[in-house]
Amino acid sequence: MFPEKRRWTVRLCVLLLLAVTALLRSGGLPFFGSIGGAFLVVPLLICLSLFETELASVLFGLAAGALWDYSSALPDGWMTLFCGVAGFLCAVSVRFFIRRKLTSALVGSALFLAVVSLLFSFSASQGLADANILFLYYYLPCAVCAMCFVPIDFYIVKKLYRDRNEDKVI
Amino acid sequence: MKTFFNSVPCKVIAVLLCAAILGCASAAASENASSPVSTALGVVFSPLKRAAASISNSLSDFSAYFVSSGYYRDRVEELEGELASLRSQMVDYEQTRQKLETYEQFLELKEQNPDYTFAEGAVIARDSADLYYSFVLDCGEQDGVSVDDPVIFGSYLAGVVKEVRSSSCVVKTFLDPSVNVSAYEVRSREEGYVSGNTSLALAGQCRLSGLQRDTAVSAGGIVCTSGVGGIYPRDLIIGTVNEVVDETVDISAYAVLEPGIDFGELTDAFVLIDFAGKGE
Repeated sequence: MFPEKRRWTVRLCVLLLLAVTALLRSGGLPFFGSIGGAFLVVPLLICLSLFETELASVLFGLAAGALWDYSSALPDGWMTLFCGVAGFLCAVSVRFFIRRKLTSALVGSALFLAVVSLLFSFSASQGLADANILFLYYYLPCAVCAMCFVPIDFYIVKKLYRDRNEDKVI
Repeated sequence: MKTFFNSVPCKVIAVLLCAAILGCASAAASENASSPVSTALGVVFSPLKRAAASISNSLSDFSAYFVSSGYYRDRVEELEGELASLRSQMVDYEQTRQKLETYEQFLELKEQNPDYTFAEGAVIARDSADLYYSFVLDCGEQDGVSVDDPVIFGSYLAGVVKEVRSSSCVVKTFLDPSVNVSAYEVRSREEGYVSGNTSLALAGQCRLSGLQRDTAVSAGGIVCTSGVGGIYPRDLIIGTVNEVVDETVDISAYAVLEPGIDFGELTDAFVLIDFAGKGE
């Protein structure tokens, strides 16, 4: 039985991890630069939602989105809503359709990163031509860099949520 | 007694005393204040003295190995503490010097424009997902900042406030396509408007649009705000002209501008919360 106290400890650790990831967006990452930091929160949120309940996933999504909105030039609340919905959909998918595997994390992250990239491209540009340039030359590389972190995030979250007593994931 | 004064030792003593007295007298009389005896002794004994000093120093260094390690541990801790304190002072000094340089620039601007009212802010966050270098300043409503307040760095325009919270605000730079700034080129006095463009923003540039095909604007020209619209005050520097390109969709032309500020390196800025002509 996964002790309740440990569950809350794990959730606190995950919240700190989300906060640090959101802070890393500000200055970019070493070697990757600003491209690496743009969508860093999405893979972590997807991986986290695979292991959490629906309500907790929504709350983590809202928290991650609120941290994203703080420094974003987009209208406030937009990323909060998006990340909350993403967390919910991922948690519901685990209940009905998919398993808690790295493949699910990769597919889910790719899907949401594609949506985020397209939405950012069209909201930050004026006209279709600009949106294409923005997508191809900036947001697509950002999404690809974020995908590189999916395995790392998945294994960190999986390690955190492993039930030591029964040696299985809760 | 007579025998003593006639003995050889007494005579030797007397000779030596006379020599010493003579030496003192000659030292007092000479320019170097040294007697011939001292000079002669110096010639003979100075190499020996050097050797003795060298041996003495080596021995004192050698004896350090026999001092307890506790002494050195305490000394190292003391020196490390001193070093940390000096480093901290150095950091404070550099920060103060940087602030002073910034304030000197703004003092010059304030003296030229006494109607300006500033709110100072430091850049506390940036959005990596924004190509146009938007950033967050740590001044907000409580400092008098409101939406559409221009943001400057020295005499350069940086952008405009687009979102205000109680203690912070989000600034969009003029590289953003949604930000338009009425401007003019200083040399030719031609007016236009500065706006962002995605393809140019990838290179960190923007454009001055609305120029005529036969424009006199040329590379190297300086573009400043014109003050039209009441959002930005007049004569804030935006950037310099790189090249002039004919527009493809109409008969106008536009100038590609290199901003005067490196937005990626901006660490603090001032928000113009009030100036003459605002809102007119």
